[in-house]
Amino acid sequence: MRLSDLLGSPVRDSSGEVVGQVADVRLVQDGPLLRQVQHAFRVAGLIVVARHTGRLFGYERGPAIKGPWLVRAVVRALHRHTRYVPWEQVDRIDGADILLRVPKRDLAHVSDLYAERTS
Amino acid sequence: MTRARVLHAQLHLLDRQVVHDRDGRLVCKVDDLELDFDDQGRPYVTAILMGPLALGPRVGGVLGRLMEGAARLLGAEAPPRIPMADVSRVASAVHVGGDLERPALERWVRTHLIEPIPGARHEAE
Repeated sequence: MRLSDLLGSPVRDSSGEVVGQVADVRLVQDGPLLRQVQHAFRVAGLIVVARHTGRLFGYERGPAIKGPWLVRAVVRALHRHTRYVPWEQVDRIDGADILLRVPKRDLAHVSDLYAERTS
Repeated sequence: MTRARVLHAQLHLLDRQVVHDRDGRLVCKVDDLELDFDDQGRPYVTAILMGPLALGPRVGGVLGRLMEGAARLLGAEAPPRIPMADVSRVASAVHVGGDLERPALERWVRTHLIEPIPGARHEAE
């Protein structure tokens, strides 16, 4: 499989409702050992956007989140529909579609991910 | 124990410059990543893919198919890959070690244009 098979793919929740499409893939370097020297980058989760533009520029994850309150408010408002789906919530990949094992209302907000990372 | 490093594929890896550690040569851009599944069925990155056969499907449409077609005309069957074990550092560029295979166009020019020139196989004296 290739990364581009995931990027841009439509994501559906457990009831079949469309959540959005994959805008980015979060990688964590704790996968299997490669040639006994370093860990592989494992797919930890998907960042899913509701809008059709499909591409993010990282503001929702970058320093803008800790910036002045006005910037913070704008970024938060722009990304209020952006979700983070840990790989554990992915049920299976069916053709181009990614099917989840949880309903849409149980999905974490992308800003929760950032709060978790700084703690 | 330090926390495992976190990267975002689109933001930190795709389209980044790949630099060869040994001589600082610019190798390619990260056109795509190859994924494999571990024992628990979770995907992990095994290699960086480069060249038109990796970028073409991402670009899509007529342009993407043209890129793929041109590469196949030059004898490429699969995109060249750099195993992730060869990646030494991911910063503003992706640094890699190891030996790299030559891109299809360079290989084609070498065999069809350079080598037929008389004396091309000899080293400069």
